[in-house]
Amino acid sequence: MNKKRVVITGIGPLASPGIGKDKFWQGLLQGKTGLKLEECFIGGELWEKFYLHKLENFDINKFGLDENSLDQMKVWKEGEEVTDLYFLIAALKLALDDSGLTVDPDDNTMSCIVTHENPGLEQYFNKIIDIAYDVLKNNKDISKKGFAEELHRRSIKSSFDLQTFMALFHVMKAFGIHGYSLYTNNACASGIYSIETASQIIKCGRNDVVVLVAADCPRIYKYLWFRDLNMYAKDGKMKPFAKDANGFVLGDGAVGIVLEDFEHARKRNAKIYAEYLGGGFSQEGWKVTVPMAGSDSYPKAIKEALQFSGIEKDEIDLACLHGASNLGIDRYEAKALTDVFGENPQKPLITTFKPYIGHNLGGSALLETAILLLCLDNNVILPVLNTKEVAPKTKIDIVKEKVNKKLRTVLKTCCAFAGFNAAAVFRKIDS
Amino acid sequence: MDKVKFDEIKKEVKKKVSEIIEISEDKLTEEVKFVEDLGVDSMMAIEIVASIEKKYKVIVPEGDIPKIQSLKDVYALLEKKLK
Repeated sequence: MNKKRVVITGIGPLASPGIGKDKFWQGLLQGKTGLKLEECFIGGELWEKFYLHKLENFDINKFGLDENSLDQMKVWKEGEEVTDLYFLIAALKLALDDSGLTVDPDDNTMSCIVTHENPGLEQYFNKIIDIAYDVLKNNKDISKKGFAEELHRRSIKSSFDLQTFMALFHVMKAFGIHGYSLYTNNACASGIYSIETASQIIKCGRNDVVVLVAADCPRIYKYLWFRDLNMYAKDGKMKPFAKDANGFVLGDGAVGIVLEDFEHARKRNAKIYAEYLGGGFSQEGWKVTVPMAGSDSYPKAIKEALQFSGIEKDEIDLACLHGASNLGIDRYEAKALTDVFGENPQKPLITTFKPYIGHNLGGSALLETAILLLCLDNNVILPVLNTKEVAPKTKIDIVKEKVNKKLRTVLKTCCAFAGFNAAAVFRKIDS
Repeated sequence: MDKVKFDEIKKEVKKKVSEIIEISEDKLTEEVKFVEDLGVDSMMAIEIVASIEKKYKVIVPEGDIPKIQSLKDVYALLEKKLK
């Protein structure tokens, strides 16, 4: 039986409440959401206004990164905007700094797992629009073949860069990471899948340390997609599980998390936030944007997490749910929770963090896990913002005021688009 | 499709929908809207679609799911898909 234990020794978040673990946590405690009305202009014309949890004052040069590595990335990118990559790299640096670990670029086998649903996509859309508009404006009689050739010539490099291995390449190169590394994308649940993968890398003995990083910097195109699905909160207020829930709001963010073998962490006297006990995963396999009501996929994932963690459900003190603030998805999630814990459960206490930071899409599960770990570390439960009245049909109650409470075992769950359902259990290490 | 056979299907569907939304069949007219008129949970409406897909081996595009608001809509969908 594998006796290796996996612990979290570094957390490096950046999102609207703040940059870096301490400022981020203080920002959360103060209820700083960074919510603003974002205006999107195109060609000098206002296209759309939408609410966004925006990360302001981000400067990649303030993270103490190796300038040469950043310069090499800029050379490859030929001056293109690289916010997605910068977010990932900055978060990883913050996590490594927090863990006290350093990477020897000349001699390491450290593993890295990068998550982003679609790095560079927003910038790519902008580029294609600019090129296409320029070509058509200046070449009114251009043939379809001529247009295709010109568009291809001017965008092929950017198209190549959409391949997700390029994001992994740039992140690893920025730090000189040389070990077994992966790019993952399981939609909003990615972070939990990454944690499990990292745990398996450590438990099989391949590596003592795995660094995870996830991010997104969503803008107009992602907003439009969700708006057209009637999933975006027009008033900017996310109200998870509320009877008047009216959608979510996107949020900038990134987070790095360091997972480490427990003995390795103990020997170097590392601060340990928690132990990752285990996770559960279930692929629903029905629709993409609609969860399958009546399916047992999500409760199955939660039960599997408890099973692999070797704990009973009444040991969970606090559960952080996905909390999409969509009536249908909230109902689906609440049903899954009550299937496992019973209706109106007194335990676990239930919270969710999207009203603080917005929906960070592919980065959300890892970023919200980071917040959950900070709650665990500080014995504080952050309340659900904005929700005045929980929809009675959910048969759950949520934490509505900040609670100081000794926490030991916590659960993070996620029901993502395309039916990726996942759950993870973390426990404070007994001293 | 044979009218008699489709009438049987309609009976099956009405029974199934009645079970899912926990409303008796006599209250379930073709025109009554599940969510608007009967106060049915939107998730139950999705469960109806999932159940129909499974039973009759049809595929409902995601964009069409919100349009399934009443028994009449379910029958129209099935009539189209099963032809």
